Amino acid sequence: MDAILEGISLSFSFAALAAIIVGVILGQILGSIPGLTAAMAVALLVPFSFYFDPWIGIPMMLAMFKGSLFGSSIPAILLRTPGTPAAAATLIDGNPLAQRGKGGKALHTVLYASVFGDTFSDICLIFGASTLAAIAIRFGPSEYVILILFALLSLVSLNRGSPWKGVVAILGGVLLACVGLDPITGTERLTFGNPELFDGIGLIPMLIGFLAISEVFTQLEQPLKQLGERTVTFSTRREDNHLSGAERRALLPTLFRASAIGTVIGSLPGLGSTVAAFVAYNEARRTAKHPEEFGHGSLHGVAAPEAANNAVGGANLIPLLAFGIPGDVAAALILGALLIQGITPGPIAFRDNPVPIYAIFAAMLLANLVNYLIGIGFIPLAKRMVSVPKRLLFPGVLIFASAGAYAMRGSLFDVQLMFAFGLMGWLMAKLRFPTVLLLIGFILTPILERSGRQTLILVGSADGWLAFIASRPVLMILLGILGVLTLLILRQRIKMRYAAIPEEPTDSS
Amino acid sequence: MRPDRREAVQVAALLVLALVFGLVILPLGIGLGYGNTGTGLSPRFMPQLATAGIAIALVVGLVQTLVGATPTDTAAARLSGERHPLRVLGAAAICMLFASVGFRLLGFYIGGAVMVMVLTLLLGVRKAAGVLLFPIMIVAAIYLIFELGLQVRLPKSDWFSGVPL
Repeated sequence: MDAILEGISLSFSFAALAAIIVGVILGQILGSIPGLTAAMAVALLVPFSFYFDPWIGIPMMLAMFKGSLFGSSIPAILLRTPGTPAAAATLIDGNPLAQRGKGGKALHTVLYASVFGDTFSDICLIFGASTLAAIAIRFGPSEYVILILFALLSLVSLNRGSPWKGVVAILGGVLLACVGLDPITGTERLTFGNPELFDGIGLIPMLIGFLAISEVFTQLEQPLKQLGERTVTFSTRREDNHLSGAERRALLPTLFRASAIGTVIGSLPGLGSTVAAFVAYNEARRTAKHPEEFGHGSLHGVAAPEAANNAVGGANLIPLLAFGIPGDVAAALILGALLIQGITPGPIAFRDNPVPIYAIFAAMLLANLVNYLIGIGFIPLAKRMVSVPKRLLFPGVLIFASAGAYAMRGSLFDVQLMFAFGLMGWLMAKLRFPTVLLLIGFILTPILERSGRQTLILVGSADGWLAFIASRPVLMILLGILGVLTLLILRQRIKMRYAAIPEEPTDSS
Repeated sequence: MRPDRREAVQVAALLVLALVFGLVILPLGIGLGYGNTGTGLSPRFMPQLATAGIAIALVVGLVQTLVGATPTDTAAARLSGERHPLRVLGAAAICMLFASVGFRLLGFYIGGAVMVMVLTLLLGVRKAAGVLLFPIMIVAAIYLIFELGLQVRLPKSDWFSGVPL
């Protein structure tokens, strides 16, 4: 109990509180710049944290991460330029709301859902870290393969257009992810001798190129008269810029479901917020009273991916704090900062020196409150930031994106790749291929390939496939879930196909 | 050309591209290394699997397009109306030119200001404030955020040594 109180008192000191406020403000501003991701924001702050006291540097970094997650949804909704792939799920319904002048309402929904999902997963982290991590730690490579296939299947079913286009896009992402050195043999794959490609294609140029630049290019096709118009117009009606109490209550079941999805997925290292956001979106659409509103500005469609996306952030720290295993890039960066400060997370830290762990828990909850309060003040400012004519905004986005793409690896080749991907994304949009699925395929391929190859090695050492599967109960459960999901999706597709075919007139005579 | 026929031609062209990639470029771009010495799967396995999957999906798409079973995509409405693809190609060419040559020769800040200036002119801005002042404001903001705030050094020009831009 003393350790808990000591940890809380460390986080509630004036210096720590000031660090949290500064972190949230920086995070929201950086996140709202198209192309700057939450992970990038944390990465840029890690070296700075060394110069601060641990109880200032770590809360600031955590707060910055939370602020940037909310901030990254602002360009997604208002400009269709998400700062993270997870925010791409938010724009499906957020952008149509903004197009109808309800950008303020969409941003309030995002803020409410972000803080809800974040707080939900932080509470789960505090009370269930060891239990959830114990389940996640039982997942081996074969379970990862099934989980990723599960995620990809969900995504293809989510695609509103032709399923074959979704498959082509995902496999296109798989191909792009194969560029670089082979993870097992080290053989060069599709690098054609270019040393800049040995580490593979960078995620940042891919994200900015396919999501931000391609959207700018698509918009540049419009007549000049339309480019002179303002990017987003906001309705002056209060109800279009505000989330009422009734709307907040109506969103609660969706928020609980999405936060739970985000927390479970986030506690599994490597899957990340993108999978959680899309699975939660799909689940919200499946359980919605009015699924036809999804894709046209449903508040549930905005809230679900945001809550799940933010719930992943807290849950990712479960394996990190309980076992010392980082769940994603941001958690790995936080691990780096903790190690710099002389704190080694893991089961021994829980037993021998729990004060820093409880201080981190308290700082996370406090950062959520600060994120909400500052976010409310930041929304009107964000609305003003994006209310400039497109013909001025788009050149600005292109040069800002160039700086963002260059900053991560200090490479002009990344800037060139970004523009090439922007052109490719524009062509894909013209041919109606979903670029977001390409990105998901790209992000999940390294884990899929590594886990797939490890599984084959494990199967080789077992007495065949059946014996291998029978020896892994978690794998059997996952295979069962995947089978049921496949059948459900097929049933839904067949129903949709029959619904689309007009009935033959029956001859009553 | 009718939209469904045009789509069939596009899908067929993509199918040819996928086949050329799978049969010609992929074997040229990936040596077999240790992959064929019994240590596990070949390094070509994943790319070949993906390419084969793309080809199969495109064949399915081609058949669906030819028999008219492809569902109408909602994105089609967004892309309809008067379009100016040449402007996009022009903007992309300007961006690529600066990313490959301009930023190296002029430095990011001067090169960036010139790039924004050219792009605003391309987009029909003719007022001096928009063409001259806006690019300077944008690169000044980038300088403040990246160079001063985040301590990230963006490319500098060799031509203007001693000038921190």
